[in-house]
Amino acid sequence: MIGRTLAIAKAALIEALRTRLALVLALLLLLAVPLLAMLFGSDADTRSWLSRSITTEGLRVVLPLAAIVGGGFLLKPTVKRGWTVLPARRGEYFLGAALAGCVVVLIAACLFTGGGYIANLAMGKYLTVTSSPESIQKRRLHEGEFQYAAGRSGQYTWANPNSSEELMVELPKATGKFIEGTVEYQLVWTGEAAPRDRSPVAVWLEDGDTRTRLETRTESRYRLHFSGESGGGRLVIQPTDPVLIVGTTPDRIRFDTAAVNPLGSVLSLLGLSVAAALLCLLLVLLVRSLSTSPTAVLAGLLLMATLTLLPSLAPATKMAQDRRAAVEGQRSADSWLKSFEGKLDDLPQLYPESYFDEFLAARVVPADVWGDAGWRLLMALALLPAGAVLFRLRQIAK
Amino acid sequence: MTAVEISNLSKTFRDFFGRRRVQALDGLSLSLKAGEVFGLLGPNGSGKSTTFKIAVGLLRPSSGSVTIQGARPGTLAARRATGFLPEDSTLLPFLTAIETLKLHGALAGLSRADAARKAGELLERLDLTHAAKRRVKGFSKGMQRRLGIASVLIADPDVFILDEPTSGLDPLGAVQVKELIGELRKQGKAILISSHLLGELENVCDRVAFLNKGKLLNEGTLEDLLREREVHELRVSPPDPEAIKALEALAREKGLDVIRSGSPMRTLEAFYISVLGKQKDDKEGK
Repeated sequence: MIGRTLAIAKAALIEALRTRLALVLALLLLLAVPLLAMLFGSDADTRSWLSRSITTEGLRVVLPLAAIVGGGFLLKPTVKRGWTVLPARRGEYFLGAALAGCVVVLIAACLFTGGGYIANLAMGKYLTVTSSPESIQKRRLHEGEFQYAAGRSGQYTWANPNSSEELMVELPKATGKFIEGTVEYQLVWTGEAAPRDRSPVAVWLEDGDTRTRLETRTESRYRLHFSGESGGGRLVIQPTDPVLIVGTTPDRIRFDTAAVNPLGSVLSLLGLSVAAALLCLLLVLLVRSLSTSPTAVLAGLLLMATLTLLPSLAPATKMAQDRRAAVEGQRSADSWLKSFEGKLDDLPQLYPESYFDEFLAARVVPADVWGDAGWRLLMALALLPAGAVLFRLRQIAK
Repeated sequence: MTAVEISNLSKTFRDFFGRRRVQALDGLSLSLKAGEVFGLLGPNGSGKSTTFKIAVGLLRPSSGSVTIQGARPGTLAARRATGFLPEDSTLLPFLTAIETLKLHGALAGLSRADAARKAGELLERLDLTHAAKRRVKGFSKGMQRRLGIASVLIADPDVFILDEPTSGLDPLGAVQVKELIGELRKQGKAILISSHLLGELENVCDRVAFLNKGKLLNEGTLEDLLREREVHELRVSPPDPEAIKALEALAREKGLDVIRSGSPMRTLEAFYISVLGKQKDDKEGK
């Protein structure tokens, strides 16, 4: 069975690679990132950003989409196309075609990522390695005196501006005379008035009695970049908007400590993206085993939309709702809508966006990306036998 | 041993809602022994291709059964025992001729060396050696047909199911295929063959069956079906007019009707073969 499956996969691969446009497409994939970055990047900074963002979006969006569309037309369940009349089991043809499709996806992704890496070396910059504090401490000014409380590990530590609460972390040893980094946070709106500021926190460096405000830049809705001269001490995060309670965890506060070659991060994203694309491809093939090409493509698109869009379409994250209920002492009424919203929020994503965001922000992608990639690959492989069995049941009338 | 057994086979195609659309086969029963060539005749839409598709496991019967060398169609044993040549070319366009044959050899369980050796032999036998390394996409229809036959032969199956095997071939190619079928019969292979061109099967089949609208109309040996028992044909050579007149007179004297008397006409196919066959022999210096 394995020999026949491999023989069919080899033939399907030769067929795919010998099509007229294969060489042109391969060249375009390799040159896509460098060419687009040079074409649309007016200065070095823009080109550096583009070389990261085109690589990211190509792997995050275009590759799974291409896998879905390609997967819809991969199987040829007609007598005319020859595959179904080969002297092998129908399931072996399914597995062989799926294997060939996976190799084509891998080759395309490698070519595109190779171009992305070249562009990042030529026009981008080295990626930043970050370090996070081990714990967070909460401080509260009460009747002229400070009260301290340690945050619980693995959970959010919250600071309420109305109670003069602040969050504090120790600086890592690796930082020099200039510190730089980011704080990511969650917000709970008390609903007493409209939020006031673009950024709801101020970041200070506190060394004994000396307190220096650091330069900040809002990077996204929930992320703030800070930088400034440092003589040691502690980092203080102070909520500044009276209607927004701010919470964070130690791993969401990060100090930039070194710069490294982007190869490792690019390969990590390639692994995750290929795993997600293969999951899409094999799901489309599973549907295609008993349906038409358009139905299979539609099913793949729905899967992608469900696993990428729907979780972020939930109006508020479940965690923020739970926190608000705890702070305000009131539980929101259970309804099917709330329950559905909770379920949407719990959906596993096609790929965790955070890894791509790390790369976009010119940071090293964490090594645990390979674990996420591995799980998605396993889920994809689990679809293969089901598809082979279903395809065996299909009747070939034409 | 019975190579192919078709028993009370029916196939109804239904639409999405399960409503009956077409009754393609209606209670067909046939059997085919080893070393026999069986022709399935009938107009387009009579159910020939549907029978073949069920026999190779592409379709499931609505009722009845088919066995190939005792195995159910679609199983690996049945697929390996069967060499199926569909009506249209089903070759993979970007593979070369030699790659196509090696793929079929590999699927039939041949070793690489055996597959390569048999591929070379078959290409030579079917006059395709010059095109061994050319992609199938650039082949003429006749070349594709010959390669299709070679790909069926490489697995050396016991049962051949050939749907319109001479379709697209020139008369010389068609004769070559008919000779090949004769050789396979001598080797003890069972051959199920279909065509709507009656002349194609006349010199090849041991038995034939006539299908129309999925029903079996008639079945038997060519001898049984075609022999005109109420007339007699006598061929003499050279055509001496005096002698022929005497023979005709004698026949009338004995109370026989002389229906036709004259020099017979060759068929266009026979003439074509004699002309092109001669040209080919001249080129080869025979």
